[in-house]
Amino acid sequence: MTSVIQVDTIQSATSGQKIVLQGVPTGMVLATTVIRNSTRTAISAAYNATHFSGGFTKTTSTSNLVVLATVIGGQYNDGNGAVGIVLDSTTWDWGAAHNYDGSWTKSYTTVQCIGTGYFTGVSAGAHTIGWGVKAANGGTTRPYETLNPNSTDDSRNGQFISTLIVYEIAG
Amino acid sequence: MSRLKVNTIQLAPGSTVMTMNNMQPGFILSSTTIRNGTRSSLSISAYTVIFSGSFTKLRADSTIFATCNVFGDGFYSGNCGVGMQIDSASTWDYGCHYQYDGSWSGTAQTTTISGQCQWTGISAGSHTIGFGWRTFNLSSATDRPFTNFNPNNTASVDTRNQQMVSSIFVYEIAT
Repeated sequence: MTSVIQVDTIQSATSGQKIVLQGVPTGMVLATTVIRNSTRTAISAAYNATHFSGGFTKTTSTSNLVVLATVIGGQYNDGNGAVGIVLDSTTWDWGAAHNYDGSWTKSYTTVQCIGTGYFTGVSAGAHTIGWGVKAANGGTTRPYETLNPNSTDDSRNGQFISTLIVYEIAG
Repeated sequence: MSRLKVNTIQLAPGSTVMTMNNMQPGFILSSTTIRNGTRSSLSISAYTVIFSGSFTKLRADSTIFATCNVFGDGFYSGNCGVGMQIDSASTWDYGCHYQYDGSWSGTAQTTTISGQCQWTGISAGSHTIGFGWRTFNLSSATDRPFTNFNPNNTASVDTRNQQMVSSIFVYEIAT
């Protein structure tokens, strides 16, 4: 038998406590965290490096994670270099890549990086999500020489901001 | 005005899915992630769906919004009408793009495609969403955005690469 509740407002019964949803449709977004970084940082070539990261809290162990990345670099360096999204500094997802020019003046162009990461089997609680590189052949790499370029790279630039959006999805 | 105070909302015993009616417009009712991490070569054509996957739409009155990140090596056509479709070419949405280089090494760099597409009037139930290219003029079968889908560390491509994974992220949005 179908049970229906007709109500205008649902709110927590306990002040300061969030409502817990159980049994919602698979794919519903349970929580979202936006991680932004607007600090210009010099990037050294490395085999395995995280360029920036941030924390989020997963509300339940049965959900999955989708991570959308838009990362901006200055001064192109490597045409390929295995950019990726990394969970807790160890679990990499390779649903990411970057654009390369290689022929125009380095400081007059911007390296665009995009990605969609997907993680399952992640425990509830505090975690870290990051962006970086890990070359498959064990060599050192960097897609750009600076993360988040600004007017130091080209006086026309404002301060670029890179972003990771973490969606917790009902499983 | 009715107000329900509660700590936990859970599915009724014996039910398989919780239905939410009259949610605020823009509320995300459901999402589906479709991924492909297999490198494959593409033939030239005027219209090809490169990869696809299924999703289930919960309601008839909702909107479908989808984003994608798609990767390839061996740049080829400067433009070719990349986009996404639901079920057939009649729903083709051209909200995708890539920046073409054409001068640097085709294997030592990656063509990155991103897109955001939207559809209304899609029925509830099972559907297939796909990404590919469809030239607007359909007049010649000589295009493709790149030669190979999902670059990896094959020696002929670039040994630095990991196996790249392309994705479509589908949102069902309340209206």
